[in-house]
Amino acid sequence: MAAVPAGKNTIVVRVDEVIESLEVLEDYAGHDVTVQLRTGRVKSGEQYTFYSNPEIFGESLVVQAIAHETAVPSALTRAAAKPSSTLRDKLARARFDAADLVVAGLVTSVRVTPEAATAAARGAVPKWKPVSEHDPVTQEAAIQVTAVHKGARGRKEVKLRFPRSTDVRWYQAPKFVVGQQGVFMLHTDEKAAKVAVRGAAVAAALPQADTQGFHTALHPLDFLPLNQAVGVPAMPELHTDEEGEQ
Amino acid sequence: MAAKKTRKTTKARTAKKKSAAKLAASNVFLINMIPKALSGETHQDSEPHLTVNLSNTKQIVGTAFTPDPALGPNAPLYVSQDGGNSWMLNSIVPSTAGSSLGTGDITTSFNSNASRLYGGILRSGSGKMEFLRTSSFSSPSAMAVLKSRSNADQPFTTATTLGGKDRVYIGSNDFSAPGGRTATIDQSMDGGLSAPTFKTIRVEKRSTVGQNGPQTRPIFHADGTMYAAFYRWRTSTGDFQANTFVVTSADVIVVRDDNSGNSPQPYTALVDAGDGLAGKRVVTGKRFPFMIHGTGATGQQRIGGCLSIAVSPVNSSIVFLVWGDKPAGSTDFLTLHVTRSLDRGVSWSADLLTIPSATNGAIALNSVGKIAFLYQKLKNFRWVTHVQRSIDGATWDDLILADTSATNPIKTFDPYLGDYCHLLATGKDFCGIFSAGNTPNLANFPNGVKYQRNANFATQRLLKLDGVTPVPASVDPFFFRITE
Repeated sequence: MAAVPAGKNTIVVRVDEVIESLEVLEDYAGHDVTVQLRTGRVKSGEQYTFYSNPEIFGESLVVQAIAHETAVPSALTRAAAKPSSTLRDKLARARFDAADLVVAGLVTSVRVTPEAATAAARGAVPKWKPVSEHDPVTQEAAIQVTAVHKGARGRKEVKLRFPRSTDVRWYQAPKFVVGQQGVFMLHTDEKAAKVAVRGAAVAAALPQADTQGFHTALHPLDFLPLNQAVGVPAMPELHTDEEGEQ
Repeated sequence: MAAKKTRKTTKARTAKKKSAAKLAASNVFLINMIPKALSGETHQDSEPHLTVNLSNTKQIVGTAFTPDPALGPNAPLYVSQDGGNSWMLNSIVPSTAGSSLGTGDITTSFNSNASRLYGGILRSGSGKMEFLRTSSFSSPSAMAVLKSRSNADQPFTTATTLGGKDRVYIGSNDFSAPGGRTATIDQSMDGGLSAPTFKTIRVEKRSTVGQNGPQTRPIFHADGTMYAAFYRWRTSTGDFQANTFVVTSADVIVVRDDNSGNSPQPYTALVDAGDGLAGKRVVTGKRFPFMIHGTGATGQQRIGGCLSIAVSPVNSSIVFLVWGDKPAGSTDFLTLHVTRSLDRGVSWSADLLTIPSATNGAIALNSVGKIAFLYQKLKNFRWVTHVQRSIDGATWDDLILADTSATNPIKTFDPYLGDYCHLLATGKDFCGIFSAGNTPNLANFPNGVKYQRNANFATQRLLKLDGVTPVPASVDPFFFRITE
């Protein structure tokens, strides 16, 4: 690509197969891409597998190769039915690993947070609650637990907080409704909870205690509907239908 | 006497005709900024902004709510090295690895000598407002974070170079400000230092309902004159989370500083004769909805006021302002007003233009004082993107850049088109950016359009990289240049 100056570590590669990528990049087979090699050398005409990060998107694609090896496409393609599915499974696995608690269950209620409801009932409305288009509009969902896949067992119910807002900052966080069934990957990281529960604009309006100790599920893959969850090969832990049974 | 009158009238008519002819002679170039390499993308790339390197106008940077296509640790800039004729994405805006948001609100600005690009963002993940800088916008190195803080909204960046030093101004709505006076400008008088300092200035001097509006818009003139516009929210009603919130009384305030924002009492040069306080109340007691999300009646776009300010490059006393309200009795969601001051903001004209059912107004003046006004108007469930131009503020032409469905594609988040778009002048020419539906239909772009991504205008289908597989319509950023 003209935007990238030619150099001894810059090569042009004809893509035979995309093994793992987001959907927007998975149809590059048959196209030339510019590869910037971080290490090692390649021979013209040889086949390789490149582990790379895209850098520039223009008339064509420029990627930086973190590593490369002699191609073994048959072994790799067996696992890769669709490049974006492979990546999605990997990301879901990462969310599973990062979660404090992973449960299967059913959403039985969704409501405003109890402290907000109590304040409203008492008429204890703050003098001014900051108004921002990035307000998360925090809700609390109760989940009836049918299986615990990770974390402390024995729970019958778990509560989580989530942003109902469709603002750009929050729209990708799963929105929960009564009757939803699936696998919930819950995170209690305090920092994440602060972001999720308070949001930048409402920080001053909520008491400190509200930000601590709540489960959240902010990433789009933190909730998997039942029909999607059972088929993820990267997460054998989910292949169970009752607590403790495999 | 009668003959003289006739001659005068004829002269005036001829002048008007000449003016119209001049306006019509402009050359319009419009391009969809999504590069070919991302032909399969379907993201809602809304809320665009733009900056042009005035030392080399071939270098242009655009921004939008566009995630890194590879979910990397940085969000992309749209970069052009050929005056906007082609665009590529370069992911150097600090974000969060794996973020499919990319970045929250973002605006950027070059300094005046081509050496640095500055930016203000709400960072993905933390939501913190961060001030950014790079000396090489097209290299793969991430922009440096100069400052970071919580609780602020809509960073709006403008930078310049004066006396060899970069002046950087970032307007915002800072919820940490005491007393509900949240309209804020952070500024550095030497942004090029390795660790520049930013001074935080509260430009609101009056009481508010509890906060200002999110728009704080600073603008700079080469002679050191700074202006900024913001909304003073005075009263409100309704429930924001229930989408019934209305600002029932707001003033539009313009402040000025005659020493690059560096006066002992910054932004107090303009005093309102009515109350003796700094900041001219251009209009008072205005009403408009402030929506959490758009509806069918608003073309899916959330509405929350609109402000844009521009100063004439040839005379810093001449200032134009766009502001929005919902006039009493009006059924429109927002009406845009264009007004002008010829005396450094002391007094303001009646409306030069009044545009109902419109939002995302942006105004600019070129090197000969010509005015251009960009806005998006909802008409018959279509978003129509206009640029109106005038030499004198009285006679305006009207270019339609895009006329796209307001119902398709369905929004994936708010804001549908963005809480702002942008327009600026480069010498005599105008450059701008807006977001709109990307269905490749020439009837949607009456002044022509260029697509980089694969598209079949005959079948009105977007196509993946393979040139065959259809891609659903989405919202894309469009760059335009009007050559005067």
